[in-house]
Amino acid sequence: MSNEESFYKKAYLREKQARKQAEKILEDKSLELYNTNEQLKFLNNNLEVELVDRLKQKQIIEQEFSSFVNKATDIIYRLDPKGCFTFVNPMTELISGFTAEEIIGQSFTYFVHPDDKVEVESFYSEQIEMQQESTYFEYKIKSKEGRDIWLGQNVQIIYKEEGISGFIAIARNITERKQLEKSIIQSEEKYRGIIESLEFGILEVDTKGIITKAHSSFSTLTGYTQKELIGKNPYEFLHPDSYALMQLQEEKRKDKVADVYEVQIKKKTGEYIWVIISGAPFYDTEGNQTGSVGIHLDITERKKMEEDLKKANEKALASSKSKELFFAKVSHEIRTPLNAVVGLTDLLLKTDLNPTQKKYTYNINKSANNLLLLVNDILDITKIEKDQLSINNKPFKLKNFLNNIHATLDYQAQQKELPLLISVDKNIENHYISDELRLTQIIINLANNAIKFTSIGYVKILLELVSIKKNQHLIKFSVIDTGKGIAQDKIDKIFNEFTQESTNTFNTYGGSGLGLAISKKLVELLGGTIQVTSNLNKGSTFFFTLPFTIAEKKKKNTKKEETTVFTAKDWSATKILIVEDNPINQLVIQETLTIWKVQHKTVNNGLEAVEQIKQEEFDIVLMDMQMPVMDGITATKEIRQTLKSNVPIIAFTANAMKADIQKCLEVGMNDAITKPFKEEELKSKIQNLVSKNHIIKKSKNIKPLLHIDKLEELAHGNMAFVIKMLHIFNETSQQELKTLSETTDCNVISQIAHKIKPSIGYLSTLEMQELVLKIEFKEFVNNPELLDKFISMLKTLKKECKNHLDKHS
Amino acid sequence: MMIKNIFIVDDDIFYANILENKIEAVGSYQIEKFHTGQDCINNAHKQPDIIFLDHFLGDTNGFEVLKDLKSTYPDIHVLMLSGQEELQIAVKTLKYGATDYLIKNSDDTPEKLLQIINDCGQLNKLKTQKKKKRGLLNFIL
Repeated sequence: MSNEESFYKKAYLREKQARKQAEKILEDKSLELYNTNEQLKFLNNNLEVELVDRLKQKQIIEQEFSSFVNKATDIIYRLDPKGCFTFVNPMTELISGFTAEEIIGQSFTYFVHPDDKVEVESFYSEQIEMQQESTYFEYKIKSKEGRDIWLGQNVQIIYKEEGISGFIAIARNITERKQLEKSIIQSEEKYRGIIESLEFGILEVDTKGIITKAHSSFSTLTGYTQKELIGKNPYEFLHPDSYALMQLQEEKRKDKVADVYEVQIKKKTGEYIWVIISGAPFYDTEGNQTGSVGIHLDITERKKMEEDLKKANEKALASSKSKELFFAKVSHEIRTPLNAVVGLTDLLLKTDLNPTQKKYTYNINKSANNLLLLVNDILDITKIEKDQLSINNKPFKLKNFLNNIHATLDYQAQQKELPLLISVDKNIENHYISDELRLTQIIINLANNAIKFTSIGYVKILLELVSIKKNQHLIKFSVIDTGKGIAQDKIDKIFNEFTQESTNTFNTYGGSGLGLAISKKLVELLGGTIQVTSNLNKGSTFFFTLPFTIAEKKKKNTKKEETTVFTAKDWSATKILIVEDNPINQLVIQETLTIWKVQHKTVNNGLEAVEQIKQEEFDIVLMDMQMPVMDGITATKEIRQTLKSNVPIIAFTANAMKADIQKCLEVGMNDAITKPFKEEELKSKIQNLVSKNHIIKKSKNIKPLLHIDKLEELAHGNMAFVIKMLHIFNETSQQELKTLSETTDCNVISQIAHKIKPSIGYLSTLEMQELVLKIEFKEFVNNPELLDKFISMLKTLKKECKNHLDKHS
Repeated sequence: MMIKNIFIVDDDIFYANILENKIEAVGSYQIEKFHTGQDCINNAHKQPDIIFLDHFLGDTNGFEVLKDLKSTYPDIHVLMLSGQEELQIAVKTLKYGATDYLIKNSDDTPEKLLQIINDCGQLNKLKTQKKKKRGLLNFIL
């Protein structure tokens, strides 16, 4: 082989190998291409399926969206960039009343209400200008039928590269809400109007009390502007006198209490007005207090009226008081000298006088007595006219009452040598309840007249029992005389004030002509009617019937007291203290007492009396009321409270006013007598008190510890009450004595004393009362015999109590 | 408002009876007496118009009874009874709602009792009027 041949051979082999390689590559590439092609085909297929799917889905969405837009309850529409409708949904047609054909192509203001057009246009041009993507606006449209409909509208601007491509709007019919809002505003305005037009000033404060809101009504009320009020503390406008009340109310409000109260507030003018405030707290939704509201009503006028009324009332009271004072004064001024005249002429008549002197003196005495009666009558009739006379019903003893009448009238009757007969139905009881004082006045008035107008015959006081009704007795009182009688034509007028049967009567008999008028009124006050029968020159009978409640009898002492009135006593052992500043009055009393052979001492005022009683024991004190240095009332209080003395005190008063006598008895005096006094009256009063005191004095020897007079007084004749109380004491004291014997604890002992103190106050002596106080204050700790004494006295007291109970059960 | 029902609460039976007698003398009232604070509280549901309450009771302090009563029945008038020596204590009770106090054997005169009872009646009347006034105002607003 040639080189060339091998060379070609080699080249051929290389070529062959390269070709083989190229073929292989080609084969591989072909396969790859095929595979890729296959893959591509598959993908293409998939893509087509997906496209169909997508198209289907899009269709569904569009259908759904269109159905949503078509079925929407809101208006939905689209506008082109110029603002013209390109699409409207059926709701747009339904609400506006226009068809789509009518709307499409029109400007968006097509159915906007003429009133709102300008506003709507400017709102949306602003939206575009400001490039706000979406907005909300409320406006009215006018429907095709002419109805006004409110829309609340959202507008969305749609942008594309070149700028605004259109607008989508969704609007809702808000007419109902708008109407509701309007009605709420209207009602709010209405109520505000009402509140503002009312006279109430309304103020709101926060929890710190600072003003947060002031309604104009409050400004009208006070004159401050809203600005001047808000942020201020209400105390700045409050009268200092009202601070305390306001604070109290604030506390109350904290406790959620609403209240009404009256305070004074300062107006802008500086003037204060009275307001009534109704304050109430108000709360947030969680129930926390956020402040309070106060409603203020001007009550200045009302307050002024109240004040005026109060002043007028006070004035009226003062004037009636001053009138009463005037009468008291006049009566005092007249009675004091009259007292002297009557008393001294009485005394003068007992001296040796020649017949002429005796006659003159007698006449002076008689005139003075008449004058006195007149003064009393005038006082009484004034009081009757003013309805000031009151009836004071109390238990009294008929026998005592008749004895007093007899004692008072006996002298006059004897002077005229007329028998004064008193006759009492045997069925009439002795203890009744009535106004003894007034009853006495009536009988004395009638009997005085009877004696006055009778010269021959007799005067008789007759008491008859008319009927019995349960515990009431109807008693007929008659005052019968055999005097000159009353003419039939005068009989009707006889009870009139200042009327006497004839003008002649006064000349012959004197008198004020008031006696019968007063008697008539008094009988009426006591519940009866006074009547008269008369035959001229044969006599008259005045009679009346009154109901009396029977008082329960006091068993004790009744007999004794009856007898004491008439039995003359030896008074030489009796010692009387005269307390009187007027020297003439002093003389009259001194002389009278000297004639009665009574020991007496005279002091000039209350203070001297107190000093005297400290040093010396008296049986009776005759106490004048009006005195310099210390008056009678103060002196009596001193004697009773400081000196703890029970000496009987008779008030000597120039004031015939019942109120004064009441006052005397209240401070602890035992009786009262009006100046100028009647000898007999004074005598019987002294006798009464002395005999009572003697009973006590006598028993002093045995020293009983038990005194039941206080209880009896309380009982008003109800003996069962006294017995009940004694039983209670008997039992409680037994218990306390038992405890006392068992304990050594001084607190317990003091407590027992404290508890038993009131009973001892009612049942026992002053000494015992003082002792129980000492025990209560534990004085026995340093002074042990005090306790022994107390226990022994308590035992005695209990024993006496038991004895009394045994005797009376 | 008339005063009708009255309680007297005092461990001193004697004084309770005395006071009952004195009250009966000034008017006709329905009076009940109790001798312990507990008895009074147990019966307070009867709502008397007035309770005369001793400040010193055997079983308990009158103060406690007063506080107890006023917390449940603020409208009942409680009148504290006291001796002259304990006047200071009695005055203090006013702070705890007592209407008034009465000094035994000194204040219990018919006039004073009648005045106190009438005052309570008057107070009740004013209270009712105030309630009415407030009701009227609430009704206006």
